[in-house]
Amino acid sequence: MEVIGQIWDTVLLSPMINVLVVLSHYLFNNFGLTIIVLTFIIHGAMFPLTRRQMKASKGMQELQPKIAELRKKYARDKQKLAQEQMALMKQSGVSPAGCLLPMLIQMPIWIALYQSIIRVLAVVPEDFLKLSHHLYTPWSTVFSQVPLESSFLWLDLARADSLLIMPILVGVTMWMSQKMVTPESADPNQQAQGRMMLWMMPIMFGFFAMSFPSGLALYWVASNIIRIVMQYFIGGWGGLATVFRPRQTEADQKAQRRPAPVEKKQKIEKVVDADIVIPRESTEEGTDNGTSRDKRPDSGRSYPDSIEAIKRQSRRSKSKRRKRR
Amino acid sequence: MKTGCRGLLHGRHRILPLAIILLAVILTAAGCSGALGRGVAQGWAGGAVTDDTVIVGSRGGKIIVLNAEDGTIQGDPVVLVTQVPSGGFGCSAGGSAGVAIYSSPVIRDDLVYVGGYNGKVYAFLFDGESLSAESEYDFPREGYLGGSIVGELAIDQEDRVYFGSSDGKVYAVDATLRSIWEYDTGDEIWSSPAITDDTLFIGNFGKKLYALDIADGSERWQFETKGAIIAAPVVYEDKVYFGTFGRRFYAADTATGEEVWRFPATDSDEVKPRNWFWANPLASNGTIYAPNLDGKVYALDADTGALVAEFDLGGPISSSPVMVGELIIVATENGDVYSLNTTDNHKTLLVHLEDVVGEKVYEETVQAPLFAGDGVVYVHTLRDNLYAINVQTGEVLWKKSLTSGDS
Repeated sequence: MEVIGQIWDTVLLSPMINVLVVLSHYLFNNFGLTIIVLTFIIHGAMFPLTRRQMKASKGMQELQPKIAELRKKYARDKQKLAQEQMALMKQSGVSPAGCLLPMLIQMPIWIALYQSIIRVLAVVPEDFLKLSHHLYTPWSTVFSQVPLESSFLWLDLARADSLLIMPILVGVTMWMSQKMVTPESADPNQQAQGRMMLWMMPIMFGFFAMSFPSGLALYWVASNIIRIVMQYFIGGWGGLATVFRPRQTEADQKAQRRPAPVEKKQKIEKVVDADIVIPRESTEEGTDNGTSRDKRPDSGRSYPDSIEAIKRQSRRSKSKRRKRR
Repeated sequence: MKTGCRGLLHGRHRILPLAIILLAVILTAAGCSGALGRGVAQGWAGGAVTDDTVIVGSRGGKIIVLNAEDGTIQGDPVVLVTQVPSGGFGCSAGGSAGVAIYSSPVIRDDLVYVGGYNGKVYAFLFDGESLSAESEYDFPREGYLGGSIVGELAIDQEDRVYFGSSDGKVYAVDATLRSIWEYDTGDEIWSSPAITDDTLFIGNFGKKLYALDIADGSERWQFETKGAIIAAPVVYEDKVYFGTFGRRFYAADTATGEEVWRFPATDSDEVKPRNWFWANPLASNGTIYAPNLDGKVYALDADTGALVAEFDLGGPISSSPVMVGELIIVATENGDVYSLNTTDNHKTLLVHLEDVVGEKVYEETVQAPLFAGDGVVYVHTLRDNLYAINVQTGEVLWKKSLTSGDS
């Protein structure tokens, strides 16, 4: 255990403490600002990993239809389903670890940051005294710089925010970040789980922020904001767009209920009458030049040439279904 | 974690919810227990010695009276308790808790004074054998100061008590703990004050040493350095000596605050302290002995600041040393207790402290200030053991666990 402690101190805690102290020296002795800048540095260093995570997530999302097919196919054979899912992920180069890795890597960073904050702010004599063992001897600045100033805006960074502003900010920003990347799902099961994830993490971290030093909460808020910005540039507002989309007015709803122009109505009626809905572009293409004879991947039959053909096909299908009954 | 790893939610891949629950449990448990290194103040007080008793502050808030001869505990220990608010996220239910004691008990006539980490000074009646169960006087009478008391209390010839607090203020109170004056330095104070007939000297986190008029607390001068000051200054002849976190040791004129010398004099000096000056220095025979967390005690000429001797004790020194005759007794965090002879600057390892419990041997850590009386030095360790050691032979005369009462 002692060896693990030494490795922890050497690899993570001591570098973080020294970097924090030096940063603080160059950032006007403002520890709040130091935490924010450190957050940028950590996210910058983790950018390759974050990009990998985003790719993994995207890959996971793209696999969802195929996984749904597999689930349908092997509904009664759970073992086979698991095997097939793993094979599919392997084949697609998607690894569940790609999603978990950033979280697992961030955990030690949180813990080290927590320990650093407690020590450099001289919260209690025992921890502050331990700080002396972590300072790099050749760096004279770090010795004279500590203890750091703990006040930042309304906060005492060594203590939890009694006004509860930081816990709320942690929860809200985490929810926003999460909402941006939570895709809509038709599967109610999946929807429920997504909802749980969307709310559980922000509430949990909001509660943590009520107990932990607000310096750590500041790191969480800054992290979430950086993540929101990164996600915005990569994939737009995502799920947040639906939250901020203006609600439909009564006039809009009336306009929607108003009957459509006659020509369009006829088209829709014809299509609705059929059992198979054909994408308009395909129909138009086929009608326009008469060259489109694409095979349907599921039935192997060619597309019908006209609406009349669809009707005929539809009638045949209905009669077949009747016979089966 | 948050970017829609939805595959991990389904079927046999329910890794993410499990990982999150695990994270929640770990963070909650660690945050509540302090296992992450969160400050749980436990204290490291020294003590005081009368003719035949020793009074010490234990870890966990007890003030214990022991027989100096054999270490038996006399009377019931007094327990300092404080009101604590309930912790967030169910960490603690609130209520009362033991007060950490960093400020050693001080005896004056029939009163024992002690400062609590909760920001309160207590005075207990002492009948020569045991303490009164309840404090006779408190300061402040109601509630607590805005900060903790970490440094030692100083008492002058007129029984006035002086101390600093982490609320940044220096307080002067009379023998019954009624306020006389207070002075706000604006930055946390963990340092102990040094007093002369007319002046009080104290340092703060704001890298300044203050000289205050002891009668009314008015400022005489302040001396700015490049590091926080936690070690108590020492006054010797007409100078005040103090070490800082900037890895420098200074001498200043007590009357004017003018710098007389500094050690090391320049950044290019060959001998340079490698860590903070945390423990209090001592002065004897024209030499200043300045312990450093780099494991060395620097012996400096009081007039010039020239290095007279350097004692490498092999471990960080955070425990303030004590003077017994011509010997300076100093302990390292590693549990080594040395005597330094001020006449010939010879060092002797008196004893290496180990706590033997059954067949197990635990290393002792010393951070509490040492105290002495009648040729015996008392060492209070972080395992809450009190050792009585003969300063000439290094023999452990007795050992007492302040937690269990076992010998």
